[in-house]
Amino acid sequence: MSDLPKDYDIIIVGTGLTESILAGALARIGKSVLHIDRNQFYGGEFASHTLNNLMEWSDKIKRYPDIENDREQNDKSCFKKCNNDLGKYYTEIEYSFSDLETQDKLLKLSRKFTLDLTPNIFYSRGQLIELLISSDVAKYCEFKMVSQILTLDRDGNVQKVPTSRSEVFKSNKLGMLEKRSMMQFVQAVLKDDNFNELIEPEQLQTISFRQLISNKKFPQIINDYLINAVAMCPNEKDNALKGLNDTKKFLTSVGRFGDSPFLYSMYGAGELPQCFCRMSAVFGAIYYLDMTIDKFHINSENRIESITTKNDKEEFKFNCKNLIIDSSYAPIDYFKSIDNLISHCILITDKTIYKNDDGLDHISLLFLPKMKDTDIYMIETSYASNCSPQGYFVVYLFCRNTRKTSRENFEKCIETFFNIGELDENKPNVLFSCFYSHIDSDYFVHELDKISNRPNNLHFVSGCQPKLDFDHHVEQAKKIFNDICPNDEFMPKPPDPEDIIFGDETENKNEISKETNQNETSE
Amino acid sequence: MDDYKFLFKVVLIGEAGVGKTCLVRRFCQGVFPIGQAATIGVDFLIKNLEINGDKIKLQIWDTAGQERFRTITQSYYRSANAIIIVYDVSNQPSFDRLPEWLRELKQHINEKVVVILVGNKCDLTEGREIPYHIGESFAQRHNMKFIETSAKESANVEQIFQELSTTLLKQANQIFETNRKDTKTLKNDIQSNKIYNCC
Repeated sequence: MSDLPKDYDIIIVGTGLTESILAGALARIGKSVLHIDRNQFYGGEFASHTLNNLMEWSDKIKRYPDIENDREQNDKSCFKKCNNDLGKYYTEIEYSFSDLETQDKLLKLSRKFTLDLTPNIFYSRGQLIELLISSDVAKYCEFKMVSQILTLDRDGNVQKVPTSRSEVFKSNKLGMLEKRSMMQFVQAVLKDDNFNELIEPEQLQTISFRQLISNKKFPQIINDYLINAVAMCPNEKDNALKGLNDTKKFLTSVGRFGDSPFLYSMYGAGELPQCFCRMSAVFGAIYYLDMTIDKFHINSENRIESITTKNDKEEFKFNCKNLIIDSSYAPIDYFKSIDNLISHCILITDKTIYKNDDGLDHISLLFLPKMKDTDIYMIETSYASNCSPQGYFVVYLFCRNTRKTSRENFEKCIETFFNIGELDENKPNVLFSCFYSHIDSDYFVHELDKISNRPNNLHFVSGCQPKLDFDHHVEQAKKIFNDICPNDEFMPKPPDPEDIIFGDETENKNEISKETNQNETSE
Repeated sequence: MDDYKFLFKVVLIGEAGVGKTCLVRRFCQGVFPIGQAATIGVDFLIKNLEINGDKIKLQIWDTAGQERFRTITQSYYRSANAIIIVYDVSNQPSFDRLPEWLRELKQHINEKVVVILVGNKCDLTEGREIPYHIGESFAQRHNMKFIETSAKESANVEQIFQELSTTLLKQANQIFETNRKDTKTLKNDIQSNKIYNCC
């Protein structure tokens, strides 16, 4: 440990997506970065787990209130004790197997499952994908197309929504007239940013997208496609501008990498923070997992000057100019009970929810508006993304919590698609299920930022939101980056490894002696 | 430039200070970097080889210092075709940690990946702590090829990569066709202008 430097420009606590993007961006421009996480694994709230690890993770959180109960009061403001009780952040965790035999079978395959705590899919023209390309972090990851965009029709049947022009024309669900009116709408959306052909400018924010579509007098099936599967803006509060922008994002994403607008990360979304961390490490950031922030020290100018961290063996002190922390580590006396929760459900099943004739494994998206009183996103992955063994499927459901328990949010949805109670051999069986909720940390960070005596070099980062894509995290990372380094470029493309020319030996020696000097002084 | 039949990803692991970077630099650039400076900004180095008339390209990935506190990301191992585990023959602890590295490897790679064990710094005859036969029998027990090298004196460095490449080439058709068929590499943004057009 003695070789760990003491002074950093920036210390980042938590390896979730926003923190990892920031680590990459800051190390890239030459800042000294220490990046730590309380867990032994990367990703925090964004991690992907094997089946065994997911169970371990939930058992650990359920135990939290017992093992971590040192509510040390911060009487003086010279230091703040940070939260390390995940039980304050996650609630209502439960998991179960359908029966013992299945449990044995699945646990033998545990390592072949990659289960995302924060599953998501990405628009081919969304901010995350653009950032991966522009920063060249894309070289660390691989993607698969989300090959089926599904919707539930009025009769309760699952249907595949045509996404590309050729799919629209091949569709046997649409008549010639319907095809024409759909394509005309598409053309008008793509034409300009003000959507002049579709709507009067003053109406953009005053009428809902749903209203706009119904004004167009499309056949019902087109209405449903556009509102529920393309724009995914079914609510009265989703105005026309939002709906049209989301439609546009969907349409422009089609064709970039394939017929579908969405990509899914191979081996799960938990890969993404790690890719940014790798980039950060390549540019010199130091990584230490299984170490947590215990408290931070504030000087007379209301700035954090150092932090104390600990693992199960030792305690360390590091100095920093800026501190970025995931809100789940926020100081204990900043923690409030937050009613806004986001709920998740992970299912392992034995069949797909939509059997395609091609016999291939697919990745599917199904948006379920107004399931009870919340909108649910459903993502089904399979062997196609290396996230499950062949013959098994992983279904993720997430939504804003509106019920008492995590499970209640999803009960109706699970009954609709899966074999519960009466046997229907066409429906998939649920072999394993896991439910959990956590604080809407975006809301929480908003609350934290309002705290008046908050040190001015302390930056809080929030976790996932119940919506598609990770744009939110890219925006958040850019904002914090600009606060810290207003004059630097955000993640410029690094030189191609094939183009790097190393200096000759003498130049090397100079560089090295400089480096060793630095090492000596820091020790 | 891009005239090659196969591209292989080769990944280096092993304790800090065993000479991983020196091996790669020696092999790819013919130099032996003096001192301990970490290479900032370099992900991997490239080496083009010709084996039995087939041109191949090796992409050799270094750990970016993440081995120091055992924080190597999983994605580092993803789609690797070969792994080189390095220890320092003059440093017993670097040898003693090998079982741990193998455990970590087992979690991330499948059985098709070629693994080779390298005892580096074999020029240090006086400071040697691990005799050749100990390294060799460890490798045999775990089904790995074994080589002792000196990046400093350029001994056997070529051989590691020759050995690997020959094995990889044999497997190549199989690995490439089954594993990498239709994954999307974001770099290949070929169709970027083809959007959802009207009729």
